[in-house]
Amino acid sequence: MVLIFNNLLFQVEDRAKLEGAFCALSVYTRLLTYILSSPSLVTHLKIFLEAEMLATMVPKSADKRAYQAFATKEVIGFEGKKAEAKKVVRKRAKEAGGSKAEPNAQNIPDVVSESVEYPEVGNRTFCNSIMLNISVTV
Amino acid sequence: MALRQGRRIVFDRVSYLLNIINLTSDSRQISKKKPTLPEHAKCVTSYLNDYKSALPEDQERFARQFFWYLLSACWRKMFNRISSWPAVGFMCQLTSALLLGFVDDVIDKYPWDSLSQEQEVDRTLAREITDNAESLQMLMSFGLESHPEYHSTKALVIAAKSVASGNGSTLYNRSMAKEFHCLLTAVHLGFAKSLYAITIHSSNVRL
Repeated sequence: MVLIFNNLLFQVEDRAKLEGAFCALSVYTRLLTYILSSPSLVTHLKIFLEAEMLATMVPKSADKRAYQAFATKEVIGFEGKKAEAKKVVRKRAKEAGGSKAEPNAQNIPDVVSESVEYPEVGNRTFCNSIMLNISVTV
Repeated sequence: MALRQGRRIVFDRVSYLLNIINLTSDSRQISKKKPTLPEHAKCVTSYLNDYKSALPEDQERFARQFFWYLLSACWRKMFNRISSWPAVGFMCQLTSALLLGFVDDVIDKYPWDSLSQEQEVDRTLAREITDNAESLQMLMSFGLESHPEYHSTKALVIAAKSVASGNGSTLYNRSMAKEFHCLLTAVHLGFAKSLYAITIHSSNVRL
C-alpha cells in the first residue's frame, strides 16, 4: 500500500520504520540530556581524569579510518553524509522561502499520535534539548 | 505551521519529520513547507514567551510539543554532529575503554572512600532510571547491540531506586560505575543509530 501525499510517495514499510526511528530518537535524546546534565557523569569523568584515562579517550584525526570502521560496524553513519545533508538543506530552504507564518506555542502542532503513549518531557529536558541542538557535539 | 481554521488538520509524524506539511482541504494539494531560519527563530522566541506566561499545568504540555518540534526541525543537524568524526571517535573510544577492560582497571584502582563526600545529589537521573527501569534494558540492548555482555542494568537500577526513595544520598558508586559507563555508551550509540535510521528511511521516500 502506498500513501499518496501530493508528489511524495511513502512506502508504508518505510513510514513505519521512520516512525519507529523517530520514537527511538525521542527516547534516547531525552535520556542523553539527563545523562549529560548529571552530576554522576561529572564524577565518572573525574575518575577517568584522575586515572589519566581521559586523554586516551580524545578522538584523533589520524584514527579516522578506525572510526569509520566502527561507524560501519555499529550502523551509526559517518561524516561522509555531511556534505550531502547540507545540499538537501540548501535545496529545501530554497523551496520553502517566503513564508509568513506566525507561529506561537498554541499553534505548534501536537505531532504525537493519541493512540501511542510517549514519555512525558519535563522542563529540564526541554531546556537541555535546546542546549543539545545548539552546543553539544558529543 | 499556521493552520487555517475549518480545514482538516492531520498531524502526521512522518510528514512532520520530513518537514512541516500543512494539509489543505484538498488532500492532494499539500503545501510542503520547511521552516526557514527566521521562522524557526520566531517559533522559538514565541514559544519561550508563551511558556513564561503559561500556567504550570500548561507548561509541561508546551514543553512536550516543543520537544517534538525541536526533534523534527533539528534532526538533520543533530545527525551531522553525531556522525562527525570527532563524535564517532568519542563513541569509539567509549566502547573501546569498555571492551579492552580499561573501565574495570580504573574502577578497581580508584579510592572510592574519598568520593562519597564530594558528590552532588543526582535525583533527576535517578528518578528517570527508576521510572524506566524496564525499558532501560531494551535501550541498552539496542545501543550496545553487538555486545550483549554489557546489557545489565541491575546495579544501576538498585542505586537509582535507593536515591529516588531518599535512602541513598548519591547515585554514583563503585557497584554501578561500570554499568553507568555502559549506559553512557549505549545511549550515545542508540542516539546515533536512531538518527542514522531516520536518515536512511527518509531518503527512501521517492519523489
